[in-house]
Amino acid sequence: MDGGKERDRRIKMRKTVALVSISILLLLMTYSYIEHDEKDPDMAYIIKNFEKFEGKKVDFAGRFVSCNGSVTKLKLMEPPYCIVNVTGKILNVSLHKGDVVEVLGIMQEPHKIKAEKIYVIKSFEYSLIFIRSLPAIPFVAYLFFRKWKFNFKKFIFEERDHA
Amino acid sequence: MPDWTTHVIAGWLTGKAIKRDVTIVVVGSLLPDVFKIQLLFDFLKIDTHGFFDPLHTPIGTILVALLISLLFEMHKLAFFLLLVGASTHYFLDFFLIHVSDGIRLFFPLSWKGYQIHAISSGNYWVTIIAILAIIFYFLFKKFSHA
Repeated sequence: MDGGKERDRRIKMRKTVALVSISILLLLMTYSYIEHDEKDPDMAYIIKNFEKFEGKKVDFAGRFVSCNGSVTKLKLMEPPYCIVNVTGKILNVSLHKGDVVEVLGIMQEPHKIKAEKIYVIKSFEYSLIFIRSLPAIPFVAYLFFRKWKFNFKKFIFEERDHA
Repeated sequence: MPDWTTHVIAGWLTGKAIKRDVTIVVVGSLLPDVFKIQLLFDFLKIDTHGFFDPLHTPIGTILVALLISLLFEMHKLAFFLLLVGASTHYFLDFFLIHVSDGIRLFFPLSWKGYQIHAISSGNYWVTIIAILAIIFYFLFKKFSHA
């Protein structure tokens, strides 16, 4: 009888903790969503509200498209996925189409930034990050489910008998 | 981000080092990258407007670890092991080079990012060193038992 009460108490406690955790997490995510434009504006907001950011430092990542004289064209890797023209420091770097370029620079025009600091990841190196990541997923799944199985009745993971 | 293979190996080695359940530590080592669900929305060109960003902060990871740990009978131990794994993740991410920003250690109190800017995320030598470390671990184990 006491065992049953204890189990009910534990289930109730777990439900409460889960509910509180999900609520806090959703609050944090909503806060991040609401404050995003003010605290960590992305390029869609910056370009749309250029007057607020003119002469200010912005950062973004884009893929190298082409270079015309003193202007390097990058395609944004975030919305609005448009082309931005970058001048300045970027000119000294050898770039190939598709290379990922992180830029920290001064906003001059809605689609023009003067780079102060850049960081380049070669296209193949960037792709390699994802390729190197792929084996990890089946490995973790195998490692985990070799030891644990999910009990849908109790809604918990239980150790497999042979583990 | 270092690749997931590096994160998993780091988690696995840490789990072995503390002589605890490596399976949970390894899951924890990928926990902060739950945030990568963002890539799906990026692929679909849907602007999530920073909604998933808190998942890659210590407070977000603690909450996700807490939720997952409730799915284990020994939830306190599971929570601890998930956090150990997640710590290895943040430790490795901390060394990555970016032009600005970094890990928001104190979110939501501060949006400031912290980073050491030492290793390129495209640097595959980190992965090779991690794989070598795991090979050395097995060799050491094999010869120490012999």
